[in-house]
Amino acid sequence: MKKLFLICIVLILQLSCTEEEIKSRPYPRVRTKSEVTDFTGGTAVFHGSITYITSAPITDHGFVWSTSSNLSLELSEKVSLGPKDSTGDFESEVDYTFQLNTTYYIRAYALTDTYTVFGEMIEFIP
Amino acid sequence: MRKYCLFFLTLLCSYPSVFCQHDFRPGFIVKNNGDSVSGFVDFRGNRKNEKVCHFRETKKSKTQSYAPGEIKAFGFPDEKRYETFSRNEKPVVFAEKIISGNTSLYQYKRTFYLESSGAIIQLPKKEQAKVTTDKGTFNKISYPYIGTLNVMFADCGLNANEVRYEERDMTLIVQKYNDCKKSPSLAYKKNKPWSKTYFTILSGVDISNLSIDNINGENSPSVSFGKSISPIYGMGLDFSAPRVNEKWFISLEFSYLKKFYQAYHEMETNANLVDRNDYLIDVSFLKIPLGLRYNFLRDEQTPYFKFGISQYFVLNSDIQNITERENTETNVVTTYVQSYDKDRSQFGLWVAAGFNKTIGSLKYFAEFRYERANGFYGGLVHPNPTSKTQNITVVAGLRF
Repeated sequence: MKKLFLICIVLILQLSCTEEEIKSRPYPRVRTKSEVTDFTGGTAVFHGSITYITSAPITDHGFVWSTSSNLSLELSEKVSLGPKDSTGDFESEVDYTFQLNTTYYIRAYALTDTYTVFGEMIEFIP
Repeated sequence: MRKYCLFFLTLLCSYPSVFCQHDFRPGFIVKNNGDSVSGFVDFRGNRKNEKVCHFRETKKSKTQSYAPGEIKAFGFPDEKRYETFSRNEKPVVFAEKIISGNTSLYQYKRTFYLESSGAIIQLPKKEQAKVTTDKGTFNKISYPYIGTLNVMFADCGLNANEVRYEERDMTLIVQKYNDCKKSPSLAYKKNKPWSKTYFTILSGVDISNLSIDNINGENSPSVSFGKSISPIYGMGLDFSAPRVNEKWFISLEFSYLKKFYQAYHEMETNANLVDRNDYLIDVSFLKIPLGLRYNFLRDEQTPYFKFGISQYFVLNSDIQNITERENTETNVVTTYVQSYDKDRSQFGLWVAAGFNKTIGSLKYFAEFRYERANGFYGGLVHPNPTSKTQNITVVAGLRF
């Protein structure tokens, strides 16, 4: 009986389920991490992650930023990190002269042949 | 969730057969000629014992049933005793004899009686009468048992003004009176404690379903979240009053559990946009269930039934809504809302069925619970959608 009791306790401990299961979608999921680190006036490090990929390869990923909240690959500042074939975090040290006390809007992005996916927008005030 | 409900209903439906099961314990009957016969007597609640006595000479022998008057008394050693009891021209019944002595104390249908020098004196609890005065009509409530006890016990100077109409107080004052009269008296259940507390530790699995109506405001869809399967740990207290009733317990528990709910919802808008929403709720609770437990048989080994209320207190929460909006140009833009809501707690109603078993010096229990509670949702886009949870919990633990 005591053994059975211990086995039950071990099984219960195994049962916890707190991992997100991402529903299938035709494009990758990109997240922009909320922190901008190592700001030195001329450089800053942006952080993002790819949390879901599809069979379509990611041809490019990176960050876009601007003082306008209408961010786009064409009109905004951009740092490109190239293709990516797996999920995981990524970061980029950006060389840019940021104006002090100005609000910058930043999004991570990923491109496939079909889709342009932008992560959530964060704000950064140097 | 439906299969769990069916399982639970089946379990509940099987309980009447348990409920009707006899619980024969070592006991005796006293025949009208005064002969005492040992054997096994069905241990039931007062309501059933007052009507009939089921007796077996051995555990496997045929059950004999005795109505009041057919035997003088029956009972259980160091336990309850019932005697054929005649109340002034009313049909005879079995009444529980609580104290035997110069003055004896009986209880029948929650009314106490004294027997002294062959006379039966009823102790009515409460009398209500309408009294009309020049200021209006009032309800006058009196407690005649207090006056009766004061008069009966005046020769020993006992004062019954503070005596409550319950077995413990009644027992104590009658015992005091018999002691004062230097008459030996016997309290049949004297070896049983007035109150008993058990401590419990438990662990188990909680399976929870959450659904939220109008998740993004009026006319927005209802969203059902995937099952949250999580461990639950807890400790608790069971209170009982074995001398008054050994089958009912008050049960209080403190449990910790962490739930993770996830839902996905896809919606096409009029502007040919597709919104894909992920809702993630990661929340830990202190859960406090309070309820009543009824043991069908002896506490050492019995199926039981429980029901009650539960209050949840949010210890920590992380609530996320990730929306990906896809437009016709196959651009996808993500928005992300996160909140931490510790104020919103749940309130639930639950029923449970379980089994107690004593092995060696340890008491084990296993229990299956079903609960409905209001849901949990912290102020995302619309802070007050209606939501509900259904929880199935299986726990096992120790009592000591």
